[in-house]
Amino acid sequence: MTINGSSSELENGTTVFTVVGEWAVEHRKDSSKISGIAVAKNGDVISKSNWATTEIKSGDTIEILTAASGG
Amino acid sequence: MADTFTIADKVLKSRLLLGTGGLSSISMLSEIVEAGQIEVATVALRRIDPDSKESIYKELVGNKVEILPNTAGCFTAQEAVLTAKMAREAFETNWVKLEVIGDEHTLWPDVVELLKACETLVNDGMDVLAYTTDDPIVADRLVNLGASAVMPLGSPIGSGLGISHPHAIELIVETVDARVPVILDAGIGTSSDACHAMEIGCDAVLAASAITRSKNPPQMAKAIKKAVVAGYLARNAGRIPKNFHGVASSPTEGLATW
Repeated sequence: MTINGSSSELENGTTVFTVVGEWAVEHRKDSSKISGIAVAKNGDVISKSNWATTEIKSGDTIEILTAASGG
Repeated sequence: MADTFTIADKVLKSRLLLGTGGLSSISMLSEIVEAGQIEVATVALRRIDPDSKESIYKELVGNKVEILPNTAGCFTAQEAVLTAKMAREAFETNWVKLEVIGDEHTLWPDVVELLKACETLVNDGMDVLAYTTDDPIVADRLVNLGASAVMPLGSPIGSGLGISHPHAIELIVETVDARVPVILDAGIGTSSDACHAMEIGCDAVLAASAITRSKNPPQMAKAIKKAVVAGYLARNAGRIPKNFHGVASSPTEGLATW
C-alpha cells in the first residue's frame, strides 16, 4: 500500500485505525484523541467512525491529511 | 464596530478574516489574531508532516478562531470536492473556502470548475465560501447555486496589487444585493486596499500575505483591521458625489469686495 506517497508493507487485517494509530504512537499522540486529521482510501473519505472497520489491502492508496498554513 | 454580519449560521463581529498562508511561524499566530481581532482564519489541507511539532489547527482552536479550510492547490472540481469533504471530516466544520485554480502562473480561479464544485458541495450540505473572479455574473450564479459567501479577488493571490477593477467589485456588491456577504479576497497589499474594499461595499476582507509576509505581521494585522473599520464606517456614512469641477465649500454670500 501507499501512505502519503510512500510505499509501506502491509500485514493481514490492517485497518485505517491501525495505520493512524501507529502514526500517533510514533509521534507520541494519544490515538483516542486524534483531531484535525482526515483519511482517504483510494480517493474516498473514511469517516472516523469507520477507521476501525475499514481494512486496507495491498495496492490501496491512503492519504492522511491535516491543517497547514494556507491562504 | 458594533455591527455584525453573518456567514451561513455564524454571526461575526470582525470584518477582517485572516489567511494563514505565508506565515513564517505558528507561534506568531496568537499575536496576529489579537492585533487583528480575528474570528475566522483559513487553513490548507496537506499531508501530515512526521517531523512537525506544531499544529496550526490546535493553535487556532486554542485562540477560539473559527477554522475556514480551503481547497488551495485544486485544479478540478473533483479534487476540490474531495478536499472539501476531507476538511469537513478533519475539522468537523461545514465551512469551506472553495478555490479551484485555473493555472499556476496567474492563480486565477477556473470559474467553470468552481460552479460545478459549488453545486456539488451545496447539495452535500456544505457552506461554500466561493473564491471567485471579479465577474458579477459568476458571483450571481454562485449565489443562485446556494453559496454562503462570494469572495471576489482584488488581483492575483499574493500579488499585493490591490483592487485592480473596483467598478467590477461594486457591480458584484450590487448584484449580490446583500443575499450573502461579499468578502474581498486576494490582492490586498496594505491597509488602504482593505479600506477601499469596504468603501465600495464589501462586507469583509480576507488578508493573508499582506499580513503574514509583512515585516511586522501583528502590526500590519492591526493596521488592516483599523482600515476595514474605517472603510465600513465611511461606506455607511455615505461618500459625497464626485464632481468634475471644484465645488466651493465656503459660502460666496457675504464675500468682501476689495
